Amino acid sequence: MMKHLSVMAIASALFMTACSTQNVSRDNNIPEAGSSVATSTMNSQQGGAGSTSGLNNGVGGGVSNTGAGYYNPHGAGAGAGAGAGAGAGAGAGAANANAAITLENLKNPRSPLSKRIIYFEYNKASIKPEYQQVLNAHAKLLKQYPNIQIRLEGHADERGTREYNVALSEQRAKTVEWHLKSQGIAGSQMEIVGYGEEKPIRVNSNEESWAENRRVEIRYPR
Amino acid sequence: MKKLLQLTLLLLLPLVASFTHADIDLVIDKSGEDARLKLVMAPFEGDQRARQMQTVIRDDLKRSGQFSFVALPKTIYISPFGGSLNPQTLKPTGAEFLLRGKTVPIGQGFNLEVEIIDMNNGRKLTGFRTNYHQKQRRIAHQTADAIYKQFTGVRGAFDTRIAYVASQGAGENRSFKLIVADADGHDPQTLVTSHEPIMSTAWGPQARRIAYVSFESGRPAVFIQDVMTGERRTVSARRGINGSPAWSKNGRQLALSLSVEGNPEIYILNLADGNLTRLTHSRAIDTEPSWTADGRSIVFTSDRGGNPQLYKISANANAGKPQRLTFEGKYNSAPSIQGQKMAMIRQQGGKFQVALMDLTNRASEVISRGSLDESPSIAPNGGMVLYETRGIARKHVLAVASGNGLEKSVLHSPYQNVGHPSWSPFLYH
Repeated sequence: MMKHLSVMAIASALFMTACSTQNVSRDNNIPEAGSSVATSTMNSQQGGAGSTSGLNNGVGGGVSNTGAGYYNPHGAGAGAGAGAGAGAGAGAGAANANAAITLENLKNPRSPLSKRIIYFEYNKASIKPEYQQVLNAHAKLLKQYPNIQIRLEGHADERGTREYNVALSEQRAKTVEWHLKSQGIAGSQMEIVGYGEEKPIRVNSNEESWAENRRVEIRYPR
Repeated sequence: MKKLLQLTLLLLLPLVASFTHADIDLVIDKSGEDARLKLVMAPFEGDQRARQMQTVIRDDLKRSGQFSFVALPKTIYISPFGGSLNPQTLKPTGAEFLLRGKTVPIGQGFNLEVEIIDMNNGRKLTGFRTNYHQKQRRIAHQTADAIYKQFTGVRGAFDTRIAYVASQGAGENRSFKLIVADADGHDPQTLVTSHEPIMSTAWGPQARRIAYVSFESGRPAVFIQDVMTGERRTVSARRGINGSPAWSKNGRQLALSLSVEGNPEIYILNLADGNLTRLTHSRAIDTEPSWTADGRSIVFTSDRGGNPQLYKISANANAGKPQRLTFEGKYNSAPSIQGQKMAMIRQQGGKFQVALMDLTNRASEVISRGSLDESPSIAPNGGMVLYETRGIARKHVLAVASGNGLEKSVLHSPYQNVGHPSWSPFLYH
């Protein structure tokens, strides 16, 4: 899970070369110039510029990268994604409600298990009734495989402020957790995290994109 | 009250009368349509660096919303630095003051001298000399601070720093960088790079340390990092949310939003011993704490009334009932306080914009004009607000709005998607 993280010390540049802020003096009584020239060499790491190649505006493909060890909830065949409309995913699975609840069926677009994203209304954390069936299927699966631990990752759209959205997205993940718990799933089988608006699927600022970004992803280990 | 009257009288008097004495600190009238003080700059004398200093000073002063610059007509002759001036010379431009400057070479470096001429009488109001600094732009920022103070009576905040997060790439290749830069966005340097989100930057006292939230472990945790040495430590990696760090003025405590007890609540973390004090008790979202200037209270975002609004609570344990502060707008969040000024994000008419409240009378007005503005961070002098807005093609950019709402400037950045800005305190190094 630990990702590459590099911590670069900003060399003394910020500090060493700095003089006092009291540097600005009224000229009524200027001491003779010349003494305050700093002679130490600047040891600056220009970390900012120069590393901008390959810039890309936001997340394009809807793959978020915590997924290294998890099934991508967006990618289980054609029917898996929610398309544009929040909630579009759920109803389609009705005919297959009785499909076997097995790990293999996570990849079967005809199984409700292939639906692993729950969508929410703006500034709401309540689960819409159409997701009941999907959540039931996941609860059954988790009961059959008590050793599997899933992650419930909550997300928000870009409206509103970032830390508020972290809280809102965690509440969404918690509502999903609560629904699964109410069907007998142990809390120890679920890890929840709220990402706020930091990992959008769509970067456009319109209702359609916002609807797709307000979500909880149910992530199974690969 | 008496003071207010005097101030009003001063502003009503003709400029000539009030500004004859060079010792009087000028006070700009902030009311009215465009109360910006009209300045004109003569080309700074010296080599290329003199002109660069001039540009930086002009851009700084302009960003504050307190000054407008009129172009110097080519037909007007201005005597060199220190020379006498006929006050009639610049009458046609309407400029009230003239700024002249020159660089004085000192070895490889230079000192910068600037003088302010009152165009009502052609006399020198005052002058400043700023000593050489290896980060040359700081010479200009320090000079702009002095000029700002001369005219407004308030310390300038141009020679300060900002922190922000730049994100780039998509999917598995997405990366996040914690950047520190000058207050005008120049000289960006990378402090941290991660493949998982970094957010909520917050400068500690004296701009030596930055607190921030990183998801690098797959879960949010709050870190404190020394800007000079790069050394860092985890200060909160509890179960659930570890977010919204806000430093107390003395740097000994961090206000945080934690959901370790189930629901996002406001806590005070004592950095020396790790002691946690819980301030809020509600079933709502409580987050985005900010300390009041006296250090006695915390203002935070809560949706306990249905929609997010700002509330104030004592920073001591057993704090009592929070008091609601915002009543205008459907959604008010993310407070940032400096002195008696509080910046926040307000939703009104479907737009999220920066609003600035005067805490003495709770009057507030919107000072930005984006539709998805966020992460406001107020300057250490309370005169400007740094925030995140949308630039061309909806890319996230940083902007500064002047406290009077007259000026909005996009900050320079080599990155295309930047956010989570934080404005440093005044520098003492």
